[in-house]
Amino acid sequence: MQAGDTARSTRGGRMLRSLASMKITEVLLSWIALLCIAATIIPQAPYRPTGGLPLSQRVMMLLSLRDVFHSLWFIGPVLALMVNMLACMAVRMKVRPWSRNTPMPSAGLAEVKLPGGIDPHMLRQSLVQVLSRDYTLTGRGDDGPGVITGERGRARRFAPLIVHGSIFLILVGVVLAFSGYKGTMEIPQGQTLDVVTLYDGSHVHLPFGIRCDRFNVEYYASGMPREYRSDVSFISNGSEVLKRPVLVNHPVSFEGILFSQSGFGEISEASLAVSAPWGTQRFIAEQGSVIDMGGTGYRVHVMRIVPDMMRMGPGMQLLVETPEGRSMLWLFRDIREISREHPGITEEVPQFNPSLIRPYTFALEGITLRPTTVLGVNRDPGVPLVAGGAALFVVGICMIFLMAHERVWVVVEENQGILTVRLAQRRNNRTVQADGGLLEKIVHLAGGRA
Amino acid sequence: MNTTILAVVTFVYLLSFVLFLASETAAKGGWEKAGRFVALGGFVLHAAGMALRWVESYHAGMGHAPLSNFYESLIFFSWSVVFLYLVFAWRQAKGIIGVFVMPVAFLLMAYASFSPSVDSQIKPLIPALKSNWLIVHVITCFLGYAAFVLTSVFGIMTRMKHGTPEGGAAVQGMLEDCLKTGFILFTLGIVTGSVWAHVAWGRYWGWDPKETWALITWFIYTLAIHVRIRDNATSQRFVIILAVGLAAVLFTYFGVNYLPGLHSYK
Repeated sequence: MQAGDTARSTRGGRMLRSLASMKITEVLLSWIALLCIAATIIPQAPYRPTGGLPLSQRVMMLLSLRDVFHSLWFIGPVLALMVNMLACMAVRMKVRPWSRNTPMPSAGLAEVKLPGGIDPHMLRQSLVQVLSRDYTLTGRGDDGPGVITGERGRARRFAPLIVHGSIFLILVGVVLAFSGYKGTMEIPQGQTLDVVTLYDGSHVHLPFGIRCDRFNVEYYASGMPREYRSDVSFISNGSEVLKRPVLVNHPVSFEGILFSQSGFGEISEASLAVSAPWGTQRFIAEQGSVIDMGGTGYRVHVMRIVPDMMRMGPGMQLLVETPEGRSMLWLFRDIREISREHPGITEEVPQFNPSLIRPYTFALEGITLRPTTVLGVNRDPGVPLVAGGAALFVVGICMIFLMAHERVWVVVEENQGILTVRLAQRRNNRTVQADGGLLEKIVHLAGGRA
Repeated sequence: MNTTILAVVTFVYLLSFVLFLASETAAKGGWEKAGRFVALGGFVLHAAGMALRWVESYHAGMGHAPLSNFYESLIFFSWSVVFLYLVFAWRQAKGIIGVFVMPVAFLLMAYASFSPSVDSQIKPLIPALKSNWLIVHVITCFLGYAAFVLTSVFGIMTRMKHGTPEGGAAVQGMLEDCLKTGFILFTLGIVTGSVWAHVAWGRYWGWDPKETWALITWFIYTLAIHVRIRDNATSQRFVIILAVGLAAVLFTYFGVNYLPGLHSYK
């Protein structure tokens, strides 16, 4: 039974070791790098909506190189690399015991011979004192073979674990990002919005509203933009909770969502007058507005607002729903001048006739432009983990490259009145040629004349 | 004024290269030392030129570190290469190192100073660049680039049958120092860049071509480090990976401008 256990554990050990193979690391790193290159050459189309697609098509999308970083070709090797790294970390913990009782290496020794007349016990004691200045002593030479052992930079042994572990932390943060969302909101100045348009075209409702109080661009004398600034208010349950400017490089975080200045634009607003025998109503409408004509069953959809339509000046396109059906209507601000220049045009093209839909007469009184700000919206609960992981990674590589775990063994032997002092050294768990200069120095300091 | 000084530096580096070349061919010594001191002089002048440019930008009412456009990045790249050369190779009295390194510094300076397509004027900063992260990000990235360039140059040198075994060991030592320095600095460059991206663009990573290529470069040098651990020597394939890494560094810096993205120097 015990034999069987050993066999199983060695089989497991062998499997772990092959999973931890550095050859696999090399192949995976090369493959991932090649895919990244492909992603900068093949135009990428990420953020395609997947809702409502049949399974076969979703699988095809996972294989597509049009979205390399969400494809199986990329995610698979990244996961494999994770397994590889986990195995490496496990092997490191298991196979390299961190015991302080590693025997003195027999290779790469430095030695100094001292003439007789020195008491080996005294020498050993002073060597202990000298070595304890630079090393943490783990053996003081008072046991059998009389080996003094010391080490420093012991923390360095954890550095590879820190580096590789931190990558897991980063990746957990990256995965957490999928529980959030990224998108933009275009808010016209003076208006409040609570809908985020995500990059795949879908929408998310925020539990609060954002009002753009003012959007402003400052320019340098040369005409280059100097600053984009949106003054926004966060509105929760109808009351203003926070008032902050959002500038490029100065985003605002609210309820775990980051809002950054990402662009600007303007929207056209039309002043629309609708006359009927019983009176005239005036509306301010933007593209996409729907105007309900008050219980008559007439609804007006604003399809387009164009500052210069067909070179005939400001115009707008309406779709009017009536109890009888739908009609399209083109309104021009300068319809009188147009009719004068082209007599009979409203008969030729009935959609140009502002009185086409009885009993109403529509008039476009003018178009004004209203500035909008475009805010980038990012809810990413993984950010703290990614930041922590990155910080740990940097600490870890600095430890790996700038620190060394050094171990020394010093032994004093007496043979026919002659003392021989030997030094062995290991750096980062590798036996190195011991430094003769260091040995001479410590022997000298310990009072033996080297 | 600063551009004139920096244009002069170009020729100082050329002179240093010629001296190093002479040291490798001439029978008599002394050339190598002259080359090193000319390089040091050029480096000091180079630093003075950049400092002056910083001061001049304040006089022009803009006041930003000279790290903001293609011209300034070329100048700083070249400065970083010479700086790391002086740090790592000053004590190595080997002209051959200078023969490899100084042309890199010279070509970067010459491109910055004399290419008609590189605008050397001091320009005000666009809003996206107005951040303290600009300085940290650019300095770490370019020192990282420079260290990687030197790593690859040393790697290629180890493959040449040249000089004594001790010389070979010295080059190996410098190669390791540069690889470590480059990896730490370039990693910091990517990390500071993603902190800045988080602040400026609202996301820490967006697969912008520059970001992706920086990651590719990082992967290649990560691969090099692992290959080196496994081979426990400067093997042929390690050097090949370093050469590919050099190409990746150059593409990350220059090539990405030809791909659409947020990082292109316009």
